[in-house]
Amino acid sequence: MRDVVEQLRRYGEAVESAALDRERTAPGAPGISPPGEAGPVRHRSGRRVSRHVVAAGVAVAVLAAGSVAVWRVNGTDPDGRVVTEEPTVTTTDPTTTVTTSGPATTVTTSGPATTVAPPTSEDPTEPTPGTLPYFRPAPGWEAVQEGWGATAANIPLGPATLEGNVPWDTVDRLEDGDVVLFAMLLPRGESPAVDVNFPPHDLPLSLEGLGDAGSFEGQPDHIYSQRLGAQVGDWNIDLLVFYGTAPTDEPPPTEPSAQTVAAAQEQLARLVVPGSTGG
Amino acid sequence: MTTDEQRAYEEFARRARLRLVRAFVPVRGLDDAPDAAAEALAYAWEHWERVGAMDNPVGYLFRVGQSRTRRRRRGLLPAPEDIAMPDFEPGLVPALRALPDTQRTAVWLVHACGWTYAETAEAMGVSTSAVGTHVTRALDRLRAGLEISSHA
Repeated sequence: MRDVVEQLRRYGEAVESAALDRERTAPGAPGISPPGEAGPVRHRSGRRVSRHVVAAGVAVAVLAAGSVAVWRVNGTDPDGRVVTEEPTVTTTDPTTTVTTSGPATTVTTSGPATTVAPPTSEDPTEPTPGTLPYFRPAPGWEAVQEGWGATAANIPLGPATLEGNVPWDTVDRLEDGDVVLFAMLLPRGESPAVDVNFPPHDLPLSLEGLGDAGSFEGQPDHIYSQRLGAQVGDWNIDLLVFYGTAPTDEPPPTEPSAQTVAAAQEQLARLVVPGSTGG
Repeated sequence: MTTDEQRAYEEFARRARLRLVRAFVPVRGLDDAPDAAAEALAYAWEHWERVGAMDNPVGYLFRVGQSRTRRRRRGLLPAPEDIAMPDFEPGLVPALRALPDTQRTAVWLVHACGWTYAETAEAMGVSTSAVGTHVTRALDRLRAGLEISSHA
């Protein structure tokens, strides 16, 4: 019997070949789109969301970035600590905690000193805690700001959401009346081609007039989504709103109730963009 | 982008694509791994000035590709019989699937993809020592699960 390491190597080679074979033989497979082209991405329901639009935001929702900030109202943090609306920013380095209280910022650390500095655009996987847009949770909501994304939901956030992933593990659990807001954050000025998709807006952002954004790959059929691109201050904000709706026999999902949209709007009004007024 | 930069990108993409496709299989599945690689390379094209200057662009793009595509929930690693792979330890894939995500990603990138610890660390957003820990624990669990004694 071969050792595990050798088996892994052989398995990896076989898997790579199989993936490329499937790509070549899949009906209508797009293969590797030429770089720079705004080709569509495949998704389950048949409706399409352009790669260009997705790229504008999802590109910056990079996993495993450097910080996690969790806010809950009258609740507990993932470790069971009772927290209030005062935000606590915890870096992925468990020895460092950054606590913000009102206009003053204090840094408490049991490890190396932490410097809170304005965000830079040098590396989108390394945002700076405390200076990024975030949601102040409305009563009954939970919010997390992780990496280059900020999420709020009126149901408990899933573990992958708390780790900064696109919040699919929360969206998957939405029932009728439940909402997830996900704001993907992109520093303005990195690419004119991206900036043009984010017209200037003032806070609070508004959901008024937004229609069905379509379905993203793997999005459950009972989820209704809206999308808003907005420039607020120095940020391009690609906002996705996911509503749980009553199940139907087939897509499209029903529209959310006015009450649910109002609840989403109330939470959206609590989006804080440092350096901008309102929110 | 200048002609030289375009050539540099194309050469990079040609080499990086296969590495990324293989790396994405456990987290995106056989069908979607090429898409994830394409998304990552599209990002590299859009930000080539920055990505091209990185010490470890493939590891970085692994993270980008994950963020730009949806994680599948099950059935990611194909059974050996599904990919026409003879003479293979049948318990390895179930054992791989049973690993914690971090251990599976680390051992996959290092031993199934041949990535360096530094590349894997960048891809996972952790330190190289953490990668070593994850890989060691993953191999221990795989060997224990398969009752394969370590050759070390």
